[in-house]
Amino acid sequence: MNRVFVVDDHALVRSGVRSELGAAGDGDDGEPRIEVIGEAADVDAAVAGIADTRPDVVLLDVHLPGGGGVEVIKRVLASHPSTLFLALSVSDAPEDVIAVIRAGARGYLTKSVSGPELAEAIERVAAGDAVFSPRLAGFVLDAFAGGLSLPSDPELDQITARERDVLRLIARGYAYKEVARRLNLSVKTVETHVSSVLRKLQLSSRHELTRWATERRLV
Amino acid sequence: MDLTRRRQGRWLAGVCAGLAERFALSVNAVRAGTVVLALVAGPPVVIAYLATWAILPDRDGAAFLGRRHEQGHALTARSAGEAAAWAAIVVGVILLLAEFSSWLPRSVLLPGLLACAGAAVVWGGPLGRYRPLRVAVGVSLVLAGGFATLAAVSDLRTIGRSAAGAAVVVAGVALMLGPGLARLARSLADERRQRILSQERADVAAHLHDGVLQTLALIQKRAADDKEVRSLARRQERELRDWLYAPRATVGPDGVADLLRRELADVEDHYGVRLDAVLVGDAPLDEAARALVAAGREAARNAATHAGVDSVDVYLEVEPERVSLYVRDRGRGFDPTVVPPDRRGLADSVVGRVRRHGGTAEIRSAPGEGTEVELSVPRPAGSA
Repeated sequence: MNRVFVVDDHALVRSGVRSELGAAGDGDDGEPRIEVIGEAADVDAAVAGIADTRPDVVLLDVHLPGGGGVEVIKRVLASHPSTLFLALSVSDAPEDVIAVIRAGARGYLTKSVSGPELAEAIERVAAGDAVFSPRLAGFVLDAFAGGLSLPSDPELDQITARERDVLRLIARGYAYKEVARRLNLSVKTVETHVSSVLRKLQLSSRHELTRWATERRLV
Repeated sequence: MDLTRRRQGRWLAGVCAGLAERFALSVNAVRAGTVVLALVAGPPVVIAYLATWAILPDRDGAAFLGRRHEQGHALTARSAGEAAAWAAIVVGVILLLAEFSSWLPRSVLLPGLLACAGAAVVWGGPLGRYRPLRVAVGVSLVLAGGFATLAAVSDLRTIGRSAAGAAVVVAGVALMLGPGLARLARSLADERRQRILSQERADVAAHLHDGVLQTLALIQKRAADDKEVRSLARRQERELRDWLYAPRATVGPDGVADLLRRELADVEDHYGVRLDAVLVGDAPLDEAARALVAAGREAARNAATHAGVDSVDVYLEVEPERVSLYVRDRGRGFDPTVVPPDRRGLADSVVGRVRRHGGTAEIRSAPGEGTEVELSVPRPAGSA
């Protein structure tokens, strides 16, 4: 069973998530797959609540009163570095998405995601993997598009051809299982590729990444 | 007609030509008159000429003094050279006049020129990265010129005394008025900020009213019609998103991405299906790209009508050598080897269209497993 803490400033969203996750049903052990053990509507309440309840996964909205999701991640990770975050947002703004990922979120989903997909994503994050929505995959492909003339760290500043293949399929709407089948890989290998891209996204000092995100915001 | 300087057919600054045109006189007569006047009356005429040059706008609406600002940072080598040439001419004329008339003793003239040069250093052209240096040099030149001029007309002790008196007066005025002026400036800035804020708020309110509130009202009215409500909500969501996170079109309204976005929006509106599009990159539209988007639209329409799903994934990627478009649904699917007659559209308007433009088209589908249409067209060589 995975214990989830929901942080969103809209009560409607919190109760919607709660009921969708409740409908995820029971796991093999007869217990519910996912249990929502707490909610918070702003940064301070979230930091305190997460420290109290020690959830397996925190479902986090990007925009929050009191500093936003990034602030929650920073403060919680400072005291509880093993906490896992999954960002869930309506925002399409690349710099919001990239900011929560770089702060330490293990994935990003848009709120149009279906209940079962959300439950699966939570389990994936709880297992230590990364979760990319098609949109996030698109952002990454865009940001890492083209060769970098002078990568300061070739390992972190570029994605491999295989990782690009995986991201492309995710951007096309494939689930990990479908990606694996299409590329003749195991699901585990697909997960490894995605986690590796996430790590690059978080650690790359590639300044294009930040510039790319802010440029996309300019109207 | 307004009085302007003429840039065409000018000898010096176009002042005479402008005057002649304004008052419908012969240009040469005006020029001759000006020269005669200058010789007879001397300096005042020269000064008037220079002042006219500086103040009068030319045909393009730019006065000499304002021209630099109009041009922004594009102070080219040519205009710098031109400015230097003009400066040399002006200085030469003034020196010449000083030599032959007694209107200015040289002891005053030279410091005056020094001060002018200082002002030119400060104001001439954009400051750029030499800003501090130029301001310092310019201000020192002006001060030096000023002092030298004063020293030439009276003795330094008198200057010192009157300067001290002036300083006291200035300090007193500053003490009396300073705080008030500072407060005024602050409140003006505050007011400006407030005005901008309330303007923004009005913009947001107008947008919410025109779009979101109208849509909400419509949704309440048509609550019984499931499909209509969904499509209304989706359209509004799309509009609001565009407004909030307007994606920066790299190629602009004529790019592939923008055209595809419009076509998909149209399909969404007509068929009530959500098209989740992820677009990577952009390219200018050519025939092949147009065909690709048209085929993609057709594929999306097919998915919307036949797949029996609520949402369809669309992915566009622009690479240096090709543009690819994928339309995927998780609906009914079909056996591509036995295409029913009513699905001929897929072959003709999707596959055929793309292949005619040198592209590739592939349809992957199986009953119960959904359909994916993969389209790709080459980009013209050298567009990377």
